[in-house]
Amino acid sequence: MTLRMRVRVEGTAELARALRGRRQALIDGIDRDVETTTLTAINEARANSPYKTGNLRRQIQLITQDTKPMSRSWGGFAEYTARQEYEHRSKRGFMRRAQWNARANLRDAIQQTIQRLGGRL
Amino acid sequence: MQLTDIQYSIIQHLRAIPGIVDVLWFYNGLTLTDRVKPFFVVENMQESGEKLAAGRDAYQETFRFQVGIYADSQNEINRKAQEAKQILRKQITLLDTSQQQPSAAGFFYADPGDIVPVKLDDPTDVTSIHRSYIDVTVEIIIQDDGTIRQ
Repeated sequence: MTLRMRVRVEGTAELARALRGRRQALIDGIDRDVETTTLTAINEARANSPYKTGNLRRQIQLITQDTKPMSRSWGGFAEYTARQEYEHRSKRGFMRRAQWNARANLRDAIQQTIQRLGGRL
Repeated sequence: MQLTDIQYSIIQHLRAIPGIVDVLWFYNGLTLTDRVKPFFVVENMQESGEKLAAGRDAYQETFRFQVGIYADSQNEINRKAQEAKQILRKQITLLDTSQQQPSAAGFFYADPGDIVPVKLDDPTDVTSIHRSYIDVTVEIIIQDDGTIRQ
């Protein structure tokens, strides 16, 4: 006796219909998510950065010239930021770690944004 | 496919670059002074996991490494960093380290990132005059039945 397994994804037609005409709402929603995720990453990098005078910590900032829809840049501007990032004895990777966590946070946030938009049918 | 296997495989893979004296496995307390250059140091960083499918059917694991490159001159550091980046793009033999003699157990791909040159802080630190770092990422997907793919 044959056994039939049905694999189906439901809801894509509804999502496409819901988003037509709401494309801008999707872009704005994702842009907001990118902004909040970036600011969280900056705060996290600052909190975990090596600290002596605060010079390195203070210079971890958003790069405003690179702001585009759904895109942000941030960085550390003290001359020795790269060396501390790769070679500090215990706190190395403070910026990369914030960036990697931001990746996971952003995925979750975008998923929620899409659900929120699709749900407003 | 464990972190140890992947790190060991990357180290052995980098040894194939001609002219490299040694590829070191980073550990807390490793000293680099008075080592003959050029050499690499492979250090493991944060490892992330993420659930991919509902019902916990598949997970994505991301292994991250930082490869430090130390050389004797600017010319050498530029060349070795570039060679490392290019060789890391090629297929890497996966070595199973669970036995005394590691054996080949397939292959995987790594994604090397940017080459970041790091400036000198202390002029008396002769080891560190010419050095760069490359971030390397290995992403694998582990399915419920144990199969691993990329």
